Amino acid sequence: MSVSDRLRDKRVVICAGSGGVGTTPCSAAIAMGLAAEGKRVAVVTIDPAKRLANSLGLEQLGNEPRLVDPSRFEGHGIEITGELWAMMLDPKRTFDELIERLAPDRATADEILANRIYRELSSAVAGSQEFTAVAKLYDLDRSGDFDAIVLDTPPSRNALDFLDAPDRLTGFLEGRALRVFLAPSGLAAKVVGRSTGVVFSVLRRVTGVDLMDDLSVFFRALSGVLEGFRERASAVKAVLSDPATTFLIVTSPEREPVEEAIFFHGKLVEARMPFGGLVVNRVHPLADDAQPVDVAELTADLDGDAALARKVARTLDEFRILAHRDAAAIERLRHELGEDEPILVPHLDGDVHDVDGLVAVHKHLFAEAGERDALLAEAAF
Amino acid sequence: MTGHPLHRPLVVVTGKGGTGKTTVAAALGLAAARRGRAIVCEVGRQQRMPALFGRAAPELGEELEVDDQLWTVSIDPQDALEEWLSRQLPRRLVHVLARSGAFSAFVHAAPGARELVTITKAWELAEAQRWRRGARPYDVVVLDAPASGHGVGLLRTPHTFAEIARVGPIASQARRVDEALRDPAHTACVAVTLPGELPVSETLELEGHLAERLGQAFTGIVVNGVAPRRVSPADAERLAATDGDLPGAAVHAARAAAARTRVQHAQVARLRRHAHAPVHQVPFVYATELGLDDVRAIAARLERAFSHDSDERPVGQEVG
Repeated sequence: MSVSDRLRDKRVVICAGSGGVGTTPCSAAIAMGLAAEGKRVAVVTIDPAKRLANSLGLEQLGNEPRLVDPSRFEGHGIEITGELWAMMLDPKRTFDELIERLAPDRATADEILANRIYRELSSAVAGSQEFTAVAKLYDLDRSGDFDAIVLDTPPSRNALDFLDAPDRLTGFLEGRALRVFLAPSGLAAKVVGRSTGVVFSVLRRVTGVDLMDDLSVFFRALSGVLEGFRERASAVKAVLSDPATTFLIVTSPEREPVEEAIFFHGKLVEARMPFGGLVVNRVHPLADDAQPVDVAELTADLDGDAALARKVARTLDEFRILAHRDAAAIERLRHELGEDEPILVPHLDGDVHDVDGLVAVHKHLFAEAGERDALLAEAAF
Repeated sequence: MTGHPLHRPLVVVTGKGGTGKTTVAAALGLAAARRGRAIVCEVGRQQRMPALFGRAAPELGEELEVDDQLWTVSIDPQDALEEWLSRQLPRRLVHVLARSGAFSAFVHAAPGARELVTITKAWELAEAQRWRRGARPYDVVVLDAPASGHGVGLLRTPHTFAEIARVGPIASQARRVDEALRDPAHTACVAVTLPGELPVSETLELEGHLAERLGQAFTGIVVNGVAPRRVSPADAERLAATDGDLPGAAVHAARAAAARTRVQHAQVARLRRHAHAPVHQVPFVYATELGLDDVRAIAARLERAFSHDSDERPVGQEVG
């Protein structure tokens, strides 16, 4: 099955992968491919390679998608019959906007935005990048302006941060834990069976009075937006498990990304979120008829240049080590993910961040099975 | 500040995921162990060090000796926090806090608190006065910093907390750690990157952030996984010209190697041109799995490179 078949009837495509495996070029190539099928597509990315942004004509961060000029693709072997929109998300600004929208009035919004703790921490809040990304996704989906939205996951250490970001963020903003002892007669008293006063005064002793006071001001200000935020978070979560949403797991054949992909797949299944397919990027395909290199024969073919023949033989041997490693990794992924037909994209030696690079990635992703096998055979060692 | 990172008590190894940061941290740990008591710290529940030495992973937070003079630990924020508290408060009150769950709730809720505890614990390992009575300090602590999009985030946390808390034990503790992190004589920062356009750009950006937000500089930048310069473009052309006589895979391999080498060396050259810190290369290891011997070889290589930067004789090896 090609990517095209897998994404039929999907409105939201989330490309998830650990950092450094090439999720951004894959997301862009997928969006490009869907746009080439005549759809109106938006690709949302955070912190991509600047080259990629430039090749799509995005010069700066923004909070609204922009139409990518179709003339950019002219002469590169792809025709965009639909529309390709792209945006590079500014998480901090999106978050501020969300607070502004959810606050009951301007004064509350200003109080929160100006709060010292909010300012120091809003860009660092655990999972806030992930959350803003899904929140934006939700907005774009609701706007009805697009047939499909492709989200490139933020370059977080763990693709998983993404799944529970709404929960974690709500948890933090609710400040449940903190309000327990910020309130004069909180739960803490019941838990420890003594006055909150003791716990509170000990906490004050450790944290310093200012911190506790600032926190309490912060959470009091936030309480005004909490209800709206909670609703928003659950709506956002619903998008993630919608039948029209699909997760593509992107990985490279290296050990750690493979382990991460397996782990993430498990979590997706556990969270009942839709797994749509596996893309293994940067593969060194192994030739079906991989014969050991005969240096003598190679030397003869090279008019007796034994030195060059040895260099070539050694180089091929090294690539075959990688090809064997990759084959084993793919086998393991097949087995662990129950995915018989992962989409393999060979290691491309040029720059994958310009239009030609994206077109090359696109060709592999959108090829029909037979065609893809031929492309892989061409790249085999 | 250039020179030898292992002359500092704290060595922070930063880099994005997939750059081989943990391998470089392990190699630096091995090199440091030739000089004194050394420990490699992993964070975020990661425990890859013990396996490299063929050992089972211990409990989080437990310091495990894996080689001569070399220990490893995966820092557990909860555990570290209780240790710290026990230095601040009478035992009875630590129990009150621990049992109420209030403090751990605080740590979970306050963003960055875990990071603060983690970096503070790494700092503590090299302090003459350890938190736990009887624990010996390490001469060199190598921190395998988390691979995040914002590389300096972790190193900035103490400053942020000192600013937020202003007064009290957290503020003064955070301030001490912040000072140590900003002091080039106390903390060395080593970047790990790959010879690609994006990683090189990110490393240059990170170098800027480090100077701007922490007033620090990389002691060195390690470029990992550099392909050997073996097949020249001329070789590749000559092979292509033999059309048909050679096995296709051989020609393809030579061409791929030449292309990869060209891209990689151009990126390394760009890094050298724009980076302030010295740049050291580690060759790609063609193997299914990196073994301890490979890491020891990288350790020896880095020891030589850094000793050369600081004009001294490499420790623990013959100089030719």
